[in-house]
Amino acid sequence: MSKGYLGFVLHAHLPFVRHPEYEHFLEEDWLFEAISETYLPMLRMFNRLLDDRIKFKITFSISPTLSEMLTDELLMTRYVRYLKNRIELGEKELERTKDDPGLQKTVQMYLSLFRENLEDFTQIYRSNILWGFRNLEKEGVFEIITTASTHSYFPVFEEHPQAIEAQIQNAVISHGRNFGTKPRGFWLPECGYFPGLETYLKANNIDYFFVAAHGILLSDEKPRNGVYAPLELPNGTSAFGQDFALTEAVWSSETGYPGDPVYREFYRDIGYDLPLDYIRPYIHETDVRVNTGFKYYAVTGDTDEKEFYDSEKAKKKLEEHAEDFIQKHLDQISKLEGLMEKDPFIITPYDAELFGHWWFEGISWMELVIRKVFKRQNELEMITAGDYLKKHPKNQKGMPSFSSWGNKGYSEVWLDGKNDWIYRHLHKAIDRMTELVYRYPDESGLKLRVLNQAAREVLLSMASDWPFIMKTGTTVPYAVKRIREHIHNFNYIYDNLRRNTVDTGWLTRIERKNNVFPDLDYTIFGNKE
Amino acid sequence: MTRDRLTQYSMFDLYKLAENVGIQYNSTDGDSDELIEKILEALEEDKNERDLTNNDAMKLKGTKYDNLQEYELEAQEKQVYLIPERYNDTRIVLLLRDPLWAYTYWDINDNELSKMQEEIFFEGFFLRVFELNIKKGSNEDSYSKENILDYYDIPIDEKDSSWYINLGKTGRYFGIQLCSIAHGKVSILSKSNIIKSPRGFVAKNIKDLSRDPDLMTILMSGLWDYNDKGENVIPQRIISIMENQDLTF
Repeated sequence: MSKGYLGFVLHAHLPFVRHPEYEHFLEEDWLFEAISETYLPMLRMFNRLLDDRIKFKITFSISPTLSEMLTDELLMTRYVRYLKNRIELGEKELERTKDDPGLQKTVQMYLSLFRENLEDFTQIYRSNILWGFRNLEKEGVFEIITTASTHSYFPVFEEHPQAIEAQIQNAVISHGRNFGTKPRGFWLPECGYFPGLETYLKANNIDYFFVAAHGILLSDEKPRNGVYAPLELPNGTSAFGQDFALTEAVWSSETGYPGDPVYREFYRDIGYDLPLDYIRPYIHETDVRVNTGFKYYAVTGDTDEKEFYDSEKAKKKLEEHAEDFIQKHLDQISKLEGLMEKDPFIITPYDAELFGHWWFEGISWMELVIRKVFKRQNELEMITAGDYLKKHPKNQKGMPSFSSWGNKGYSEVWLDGKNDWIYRHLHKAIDRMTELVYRYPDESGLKLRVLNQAAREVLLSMASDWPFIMKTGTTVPYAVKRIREHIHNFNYIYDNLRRNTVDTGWLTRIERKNNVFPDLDYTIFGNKE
Repeated sequence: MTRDRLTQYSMFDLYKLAENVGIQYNSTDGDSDELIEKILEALEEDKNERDLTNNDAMKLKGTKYDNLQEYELEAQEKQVYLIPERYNDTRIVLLLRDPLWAYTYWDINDNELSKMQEEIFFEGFFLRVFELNIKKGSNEDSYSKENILDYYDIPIDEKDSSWYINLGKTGRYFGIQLCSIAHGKVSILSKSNIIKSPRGFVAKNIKDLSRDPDLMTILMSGLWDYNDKGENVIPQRIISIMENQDLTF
């Protein structure tokens, strides 16, 4: 019987959003929703598996910006406030729906979720859930890897080696501070790869990274094992390719599992459905309706007449979808039998926030998949990318092609008529930052603070999230403002340094606001050419 | 964004939203119902365009930032951040977008620009796109005569500052020069970095495998969704720019 490996790669990332100047800030909810619906439920699920002695392996990437936010005192205090607000809403909802037993069950489900989150967050994790992920690594079931410091999409910075180096080097430092380890693997933001990028990864002791399927398939050498074994690059790093078909089984809005009629509908939320007077304390000020997390409808179909969500029906469907996912793996392994030099490694990378947040049942689905795979270990075994390289240190030599997992496989999501204006500013800021390192190679005191903040602003401006949002059109004014803010802050520092002045009050305010990477050393922007 | 939600907006906010979504509308043109109708149409059109230009992975990723299901009128943060439109240095930069398209942006120093324009025989600016033959490890000027395989020119206006370039060929090196012309004489103002477009198709030795259905399973990874379909590679937005500006490539 043929055997293959299943490689879940989960990538958890959110951009740095922190606004101490506002009591409540709309976009900070991105983090709070992700902790509530994805990270905490995921930790509970993985710990349940550990308790049940189920063997599993996950490659887990946590972005440095997310790690920084998850250890930020202000944000974590606000998260507790968020949870209490949601619990209060849940209790009110129980009262409002008391005559509707069907709905009460769903309300109770959400209320339990928020209550459990509050308890886990405050009692188990003591406001630091990174500890939970770190513990899973210590248990040997997680391999935690890192990604670019602010999740910059590298191909648009190919001509700025100092910026790429800064993004990677600082990420490795941040990872060490937060997890106490040196990451072996690296998640390329948006799987954005260009030939030559591996040089910077190798320089920071990274052994492997992931690319989109066509990055491998269009490599300069015939990839004898397709995407089912990594390519070893000339500098010794390894590139793993994503399996498109199996990733699509979860992604696809039409044929993917999350679109099944019985699963919970993401877009029907009581934040929009209930009267303003009732929902006002749970949405944003000045009556801006937002998602509250209380969603009572099922996907149902392509209709506005949605049916109420029934968790029992969803549970039954999960069985079917977990089985289907495994069967698809086994079918693929069987097709590949005799064609490969070694057992195939099927890699399915996903944004972690897809599970729980978007696909509400996704975490339960993953748990079922893991439990089922455990029972069929002789056919399918879960391993991490690092495990694979230990088993198979020698792989075919080759050079992947320029690629990303974005629309049409290249850069058009991040380089488009809706966002291309930013690159003139980002490239200039990087060039000027390098110039500052050259002009001030060894500073201390106030000037050191100024230069470190300048480096922070440049890194923050490079986040892939802002051009992504401009292209996909969610909260465009905010994304535009963030780019403008960081470029403005950087330029202000640059101009002041040229005049040999420092605006101490302004600097202190900006340091407190954009306080990411406290140990950042601006000289990492030194010219690497 | 629903009709109900829009009816709660003030006329001021409706005008602002109309402007944001590109609707030309005068306050004397009609009532709020009519404006709401136009806004809804524009938003629907925008949504359809975005749906078409984003794959499933990108649409799902968007939900991370989607706590606000409605169109954000303006950012909550009210601070205004001024940034320069340009940096007043003569420079041209080339960015690879996909195997067939690149994006270039440039700037011309004000003093240099004035001097050029003062010349009686100043005729204008253009971009010269080069297909180059770069030898690995060579230190010679990328734009040396020996390296130039082909080139073509794109006339540009003084007000232009960026352009999408159809590379026409995959798997080649390209560079671009910002040039001016006066009295029939071409001057190079700035040379860009060099980019290499990827092949964008399967290496020949792999393509041979397509005759063997079993071996094709190795390649089952969505490759065909990305490549070998010329019409899909060319973004619709660029086609529309080409049509509107009557450009010929």
